[in-house]
Amino acid sequence: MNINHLAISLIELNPENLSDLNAFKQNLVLSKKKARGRLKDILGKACAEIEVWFDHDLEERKEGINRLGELLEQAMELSGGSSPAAKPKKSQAVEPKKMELLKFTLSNEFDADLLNEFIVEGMECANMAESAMLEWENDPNNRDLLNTIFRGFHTIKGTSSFINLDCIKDVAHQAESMLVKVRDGQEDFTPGHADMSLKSLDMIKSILERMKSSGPGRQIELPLGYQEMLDTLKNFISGNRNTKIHDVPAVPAVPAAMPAVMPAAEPTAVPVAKPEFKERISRKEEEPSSEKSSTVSQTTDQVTESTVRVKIDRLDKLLDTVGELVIAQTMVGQDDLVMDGKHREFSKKVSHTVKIVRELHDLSMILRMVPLKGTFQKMARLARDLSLKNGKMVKFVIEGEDIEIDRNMVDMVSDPLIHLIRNAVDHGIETPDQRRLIGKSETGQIHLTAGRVEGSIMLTIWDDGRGLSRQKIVDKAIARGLIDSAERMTEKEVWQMIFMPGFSTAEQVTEVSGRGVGLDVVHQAVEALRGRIEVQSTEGQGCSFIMRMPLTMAITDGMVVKVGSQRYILPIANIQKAIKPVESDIHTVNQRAEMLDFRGEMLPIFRLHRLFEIQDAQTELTSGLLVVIGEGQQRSALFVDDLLTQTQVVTKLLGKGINNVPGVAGGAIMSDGTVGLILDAAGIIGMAQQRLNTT
Amino acid sequence: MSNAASVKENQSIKVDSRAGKYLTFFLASEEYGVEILKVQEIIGRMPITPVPLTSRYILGVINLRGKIHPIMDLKIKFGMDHTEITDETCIIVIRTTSLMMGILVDKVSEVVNVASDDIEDTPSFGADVNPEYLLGVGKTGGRVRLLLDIEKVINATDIINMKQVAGGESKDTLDESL
Repeated sequence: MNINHLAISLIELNPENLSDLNAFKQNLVLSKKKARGRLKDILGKACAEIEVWFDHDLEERKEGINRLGELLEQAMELSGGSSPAAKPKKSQAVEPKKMELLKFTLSNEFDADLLNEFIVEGMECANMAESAMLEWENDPNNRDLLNTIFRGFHTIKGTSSFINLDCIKDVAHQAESMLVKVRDGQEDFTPGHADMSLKSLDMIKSILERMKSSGPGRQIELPLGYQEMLDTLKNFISGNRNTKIHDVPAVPAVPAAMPAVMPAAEPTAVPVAKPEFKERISRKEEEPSSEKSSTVSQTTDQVTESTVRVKIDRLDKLLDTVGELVIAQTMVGQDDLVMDGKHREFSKKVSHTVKIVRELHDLSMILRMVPLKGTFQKMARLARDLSLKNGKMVKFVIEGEDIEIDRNMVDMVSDPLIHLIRNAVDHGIETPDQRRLIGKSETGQIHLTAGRVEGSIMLTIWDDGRGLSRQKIVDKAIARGLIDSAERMTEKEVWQMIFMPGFSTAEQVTEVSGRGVGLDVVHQAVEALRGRIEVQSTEGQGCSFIMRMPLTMAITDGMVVKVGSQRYILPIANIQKAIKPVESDIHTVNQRAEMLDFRGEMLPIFRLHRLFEIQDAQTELTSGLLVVIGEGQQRSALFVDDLLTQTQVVTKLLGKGINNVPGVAGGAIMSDGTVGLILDAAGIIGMAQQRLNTT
Repeated sequence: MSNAASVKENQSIKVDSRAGKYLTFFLASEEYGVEILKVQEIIGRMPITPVPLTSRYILGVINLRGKIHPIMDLKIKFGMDHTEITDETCIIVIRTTSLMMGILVDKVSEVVNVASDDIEDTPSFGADVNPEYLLGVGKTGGRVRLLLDIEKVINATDIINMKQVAGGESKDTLDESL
């Protein structure tokens, strides 16, 4: 038990309880035995004090405790600090020269969060001081730089002593004392000073780095040569410059892998930090030439300055809350009090907050965006490997890798991309021999391009290979019974057929058109992203797949449709056209099924009020609206009462158990605080067709 | 150990697990109770958005601080008349192990402590009423309270009406009784 603990137990001591007193006395005697010098004297006095207590009454004992407190305070001052943690300083006093790995136990009085905060802050200070130090070397008369360095050491010293990190505090303290002399003009600045300061910083950062992988109450190994470094520093200060600085063992390099390992160890971390690593590595490579002694320090965390790791669930919670705020704000904004125009001042204030909330919302949306870089690099690798395997020469070009998308979408995007690139290499690009024969350059090209178009993201995969063959696709479609004749079909419509489910299986397509392995899978994936995919192709010249998808899945652009007293949100991506039908466009089959003549194409009409059994809806087709939804064979006309407004909503799942209602993709909180249902066009069509089949 | 003794022991364990605090509420004139630990909160009535193709006793969904939860009319579920909305109508939000659901009740009554001695097993009603949803009958303060196994009620809920999805029966012809 050390002095601190004794002092604490003294405060808790109950003078009435004799057995407590006895235990305390024993501890005190033990401490006295261990103590040396003046400390022993003081503790001896304390022992004598406590010895007589047992004969006294309560009042005198209380006074005795006060006297004992004073004695212990003296003892604490003498023992040189307030740290209950083990002190490397002590061992240094005994064996200053021994080379060994010193251990240091992190105090468990502070929790992990506090320690982490300290580490980040310490790193920042150290980095700041370091860059100032490097500048100062070239400009030793610059007082501002000196002060910056000074401040760095001082802050580290302050915070580290606050959390009982003596190993760091000592280094910072010594370095500070060294620089005080320079600042006060007692000494000139020499390269030795710079060297020592940088080494101190290296040591501090090295310890901080070790702390990262440790926790409260755990032991860390002090870096090799810690003690030597401290001694050299002390000698340097006391004017003993004979010690050759370069004898000081270099601070063992922080294992290069360590910072890189960090994100892997924290899978929840935002991958935003990634791009920085590359930069860091390149910086590290430059260093040995420009910097002779401080090899480690520069590679340590610059990242902390520019990015902060945030756990994903916290981020999601924040985004949720901001979403709520937006809704609540909209409700305030639409309140009668604001809308009636009588309270001008109040309205002004409200519209001001609307602006701020909207800005906040935009900012929070950016938070979850990550660049496509990672995905694109994976694709480049894939294209390289595939072309090698197939004996093809391919030049893979990437553009727009900095475009950012919602991090939830990253994985969903990469699946269709892999598919398309595989197709392009396998079937699109010809072999070098074939290419030479038809007069193309031997090396084929595949371009993967990302761009932003009208608030959505556009991904294009272009190759200069064979392209699609209209004839082969049409033959195939007829053979499969998908169409009777392609006479009236445009190019676009023909190309679109390759996305149909069941259009082809791998072998069949390979022999027919040479393109299109499992493209319906791609189509589905893109649709799941609420996007669209198109093909452009010139036979023999190449072909490109163009995918368009929203920047984020979190927000749905939709139209509010009215059916009776109900309101639903139909995603705009699903809507192709809304028409007010006239009698002559509508035809019936068996007096039951209805069809719409849509520019010569017969589309089945599905009535939403029948599907959803809404009683008070418009039943006269010509008085309502027909919305054309779906693609290709699935295309149909959905009958609703009216389209009301356009809206942007945050998509949410309906509660558990109710989240797979057919035809409903999810819910959203509307501006009046109620829940609005988002329709799922594909689901509605599927359900309607199923019903037609059963009746 | 004899058979009778083991049965008795089983019963006493069962009784113990039923004892505790219950939130009681009224459905028409009957007083029911749900375990207080399953109750997330009680909210006043708020606009409910109907969801198509769901069972008749699923009234729809509500927005509870940004989360969407289904609401069930317990009276329809139990084969009684549907709930008339009054000033006393409340939604009790129940949190089961698998989901959160609001139940619409006529009136919330009180929180009572039901001791194991006050709980009687549900008598058999023959084919008319399914006693599966009842933990027992609590008799405290001279009142009879039907203690609901709310977890069972909610888990036995077919939220989506498959027949209706297929276009077969319409919502009104479906009925379910306790």
